[in-house]
Amino acid sequence: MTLRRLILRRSLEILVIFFLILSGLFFLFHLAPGDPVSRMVDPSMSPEDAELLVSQLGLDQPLWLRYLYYLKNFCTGDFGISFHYGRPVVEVIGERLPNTILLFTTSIILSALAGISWGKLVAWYKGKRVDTVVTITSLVCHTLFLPWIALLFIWVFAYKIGGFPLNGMISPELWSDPASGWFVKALDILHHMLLPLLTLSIIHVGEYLLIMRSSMLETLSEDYILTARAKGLSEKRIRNRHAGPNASLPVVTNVGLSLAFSINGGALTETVFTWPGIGRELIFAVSNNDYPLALASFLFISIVVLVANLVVDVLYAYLDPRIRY
Amino acid sequence: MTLLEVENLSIAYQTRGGVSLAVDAASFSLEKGKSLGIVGESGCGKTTIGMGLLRLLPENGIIQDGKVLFEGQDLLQISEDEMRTIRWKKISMIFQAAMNAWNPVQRVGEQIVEAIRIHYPDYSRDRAVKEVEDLYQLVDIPRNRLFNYPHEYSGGMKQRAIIAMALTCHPDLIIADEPTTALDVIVQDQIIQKIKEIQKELSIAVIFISHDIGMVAEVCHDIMVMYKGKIVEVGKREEVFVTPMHPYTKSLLSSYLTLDGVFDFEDKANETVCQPDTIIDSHICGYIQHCQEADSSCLREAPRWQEITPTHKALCRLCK
Repeated sequence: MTLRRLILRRSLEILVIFFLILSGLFFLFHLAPGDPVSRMVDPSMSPEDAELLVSQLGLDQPLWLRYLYYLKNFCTGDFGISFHYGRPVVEVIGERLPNTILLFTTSIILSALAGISWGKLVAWYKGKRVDTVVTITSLVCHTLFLPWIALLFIWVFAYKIGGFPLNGMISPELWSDPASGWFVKALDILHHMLLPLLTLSIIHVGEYLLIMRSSMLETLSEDYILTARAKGLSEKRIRNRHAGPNASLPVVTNVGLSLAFSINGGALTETVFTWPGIGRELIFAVSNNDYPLALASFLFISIVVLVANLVVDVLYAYLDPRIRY
Repeated sequence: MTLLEVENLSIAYQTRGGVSLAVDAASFSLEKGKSLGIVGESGCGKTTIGMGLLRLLPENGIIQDGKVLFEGQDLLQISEDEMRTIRWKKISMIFQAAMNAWNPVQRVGEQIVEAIRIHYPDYSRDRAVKEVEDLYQLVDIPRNRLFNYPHEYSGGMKQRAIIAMALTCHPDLIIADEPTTALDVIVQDQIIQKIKEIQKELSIAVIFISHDIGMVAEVCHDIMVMYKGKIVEVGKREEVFVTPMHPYTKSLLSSYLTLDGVFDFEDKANETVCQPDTIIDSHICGYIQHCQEADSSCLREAPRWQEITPTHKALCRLCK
């Protein structure tokens, strides 16, 4: 009951935040340097034709009216036509976004699970050699420069050792072959996904592990751990049932926070591995002044981040009954 | 019949400044179904004794020497696995800070049921729940609160629930470590009465650890006074409370509010809290600096146990 109320409340908040983002983006794009018309208008065009084009695009209207049109178009799901692709923006995004979500959710879930379970163990063996080695390694992983590690992986695993594709998400010849079933196709995607996944996870797992380790150490000094010991519980049960769940709360918070930040890392990873995701599309759209595509990319990324945050909030409330209000 | 016999128990803490002795050769015994109060100021080692009995000392705590004979078995010699079967089933605890003694993200009832089912794996969940419900009745908590979260309980309820949990496995001994700290006076009284009642009814032995000698005198058959890691006086409740022999016990008793409400500030000011890291010189009396009765012979000779009655003795050269 209370959980449902929390979801409802958070959803309303998210709607408000999204409206602010929607409006903010419009004005930011209005302020952005570079003129969309100059890109489309050919220098050989007559001034009359240029003016016609401007009025066709609606750019001669006052700002407030354009803003209202913008809101109306958003509500009807009309994001315009991409300058570059000449196709509706929604189509382009509809192709790219699932790829990004696939890569991201997998890497976040994997690195959070790995960080939590390893951090838990390492904290348990605090001061032992395994703790020292893992903690230092995590620190190094956490501070690694993402494009560098991405390039390194490509060089080592795809080029030197081989066995991994250099780029892309699918092997076209395999997909055009009618004989290959869905399982072969899924394996193909996984094969392509492994290196970018590893890159993203390596960066995050170190962070989550360090948070989990320190949180676990703090939890282990709590009185209820002493209670658990006095109750005669085994060390394993204390670690997994009493200390672990409590200690993982800060990691969950951090997953929520790092989601927004991981978008840039994601864009870089996608670019280096030419993963056909929305981050790469965004970089492309911005550098090519493809305004409708860039705007829509921003919007959809923010929707993903907002929804992911909602999920994290609900998960947190599920894990910690104290914050269900 | 003797339930617990502690002989020469010495516990030290490994600190950066060296090893500091927290409990110095403590010996005492406890009969089945009786209650013993350990009194002393903060840092005197009373909690350390309690934790030492269950082998639950912090990582830097070392049991240096001694024997803890529980039903004839030395708890310091058995393996950790064997110790786990003793914990809670034979010796349970009521904790100092009930506020934090509950895991905040698990329902209170679950945590109590867990304690039962760890020690009685063949119990069904329903049977365990039924047992906890009966215990809740005993400690006056409504049954429908059983599966609430700890933060939905009041402070007194949490403490009573801890008492209920301490009783789950029908232990022979309960160690109650400052069970009323952080509770207001009225709730304090309720809790004390409850423990007293249960102790009598179920005839469970209780070790009561407290700095409040008045409270201990209300509940316990025997009283043991500690100072700087040493037991300085042992006796029946009336003996220690009415005819204290050790100068420290005397000043401890006089520092409490009397009926006419006069607080002896001067005496209180003489009292300095003993620092846990004070290196205890076991040759001369630890209380000598604050003792009003000490004479020059106290500086030269070690204190000796003086027997006043067969049950009452004090570690002081001067009392007779």
